[in-house]
Amino acid sequence: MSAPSSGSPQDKEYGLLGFIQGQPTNLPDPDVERVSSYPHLVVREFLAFGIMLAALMVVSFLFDAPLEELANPGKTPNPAKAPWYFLSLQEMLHYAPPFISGVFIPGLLVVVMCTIPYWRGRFVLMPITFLLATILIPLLDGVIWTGIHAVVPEFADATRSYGFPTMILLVGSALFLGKLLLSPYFDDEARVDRLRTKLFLVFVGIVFVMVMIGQYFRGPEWRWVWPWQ
Amino acid sequence: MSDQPVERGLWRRIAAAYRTTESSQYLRDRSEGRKHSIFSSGFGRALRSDIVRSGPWRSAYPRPFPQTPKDNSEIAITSFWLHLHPAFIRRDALKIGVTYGLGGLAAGLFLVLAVTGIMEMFYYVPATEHAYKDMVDLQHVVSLGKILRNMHRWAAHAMVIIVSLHMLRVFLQKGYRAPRQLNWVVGVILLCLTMGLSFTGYLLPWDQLALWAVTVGTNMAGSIPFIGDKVRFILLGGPSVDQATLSRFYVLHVVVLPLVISMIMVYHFWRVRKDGFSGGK
Repeated sequence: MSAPSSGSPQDKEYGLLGFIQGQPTNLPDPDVERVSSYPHLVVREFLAFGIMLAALMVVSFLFDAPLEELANPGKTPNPAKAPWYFLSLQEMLHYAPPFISGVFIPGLLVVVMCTIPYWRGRFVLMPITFLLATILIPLLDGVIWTGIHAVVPEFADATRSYGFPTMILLVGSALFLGKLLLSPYFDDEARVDRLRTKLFLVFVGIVFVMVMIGQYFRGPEWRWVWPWQ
Repeated sequence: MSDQPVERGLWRRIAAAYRTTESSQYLRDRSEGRKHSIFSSGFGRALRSDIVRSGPWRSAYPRPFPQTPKDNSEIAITSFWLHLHPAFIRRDALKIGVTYGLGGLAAGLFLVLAVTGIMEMFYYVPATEHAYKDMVDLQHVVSLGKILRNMHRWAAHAMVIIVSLHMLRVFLQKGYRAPRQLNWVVGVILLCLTMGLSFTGYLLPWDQLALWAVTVGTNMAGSIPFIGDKVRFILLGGPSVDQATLSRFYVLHVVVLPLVISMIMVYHFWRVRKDGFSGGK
């Protein structure tokens, strides 16, 4: 048996390790028709960019970007609205302490969004907990705080603006309940998949509705105002 | 066609151009399935031949202009500007309904925003006494300044919408599944950066809308337990929205965030290639 002295394939010896089932990985499927990216894809890209640019210019000719009066720290507009994509956060500010609605929940949502591809088995518990907390904390904050205030008034008062009591209670109970009830249920991949789709679409729907409410249905003091009022 | 000798000398060339632009030549080309453009016969062909054989052109593009399917497949690899593309792509992946072109449009909008943003920087001074006046000047004094500002503003809003729709599209087609999980995470980061860019740009006109939107936004950061006031102070550069805030948001908006988002965008695109095209499946 001679050691391979050069790089040419004829000099190498191969041994059969075993057979596996399936398609060779790097070969294109002969049944799928393929075309060269240039010009087929490139032309479409340029066309799409051109149409987008033209549409943008038409919109820019027709509608002017808003420019209000000079910034004046002494004159607070009522209501002072955030940019529209943050209006869902501002809408939550209406229900819960600023830390919860402005930092805790958005931060959690970014983390949950990042974990979407990795949900499987009992790891589904984490996002469920987060999303439960997201929905329940703003809704129940006042009730829970009142309850805790009755037992430990100092703790409840000192951490009121952070919403800590609510948070600890809810995340804790969601984790506990989730572990108790859900873990065997979500060992099924297809079930996880359906849950993921439902949760994400509900989340997108909630954000959309809240942005719309913030943009069109909120007036002075963040009171409900109909658009025609 | 290209193997025919190109005549030297102006008059010979004009005569040759006259010969080759005859309708018989055109019809012969058509019957043999050759595409006919202004460069495929006559003076146009001679002109193109001159250009593509010239030193500067060949130093930029050592290979001839792509004409055969083989050239087409190689240009995606050899051309710097097109190397983002694979050589071949599934024909059904070209259909508009597969991706709606949303990712590409978001990148295109970023390009528009970069160009219009740099043009705005020629006029805009990020100082509290200047910023608002510069905006008013841009709207009423600078030629097409209003259109420039409108384009930047609407493109920014459009980018937030398009990026969100892109994310929804990828989710509904389950494009986050293996092996593309990491690119989903990168996409979430890009969405956050897009919002960050939009938010920092919101302050720059220095009008009432800008001041109070940023005040509302940074007050949220101020509510973080224990360190909230410090975080808010770092963001604002002081106790309230003022010159220091404008400077910080300006630098974030025109240097830091565009640089970061560009690098992450390039990585996002690279991963699209490495993970393989979905082709709607």
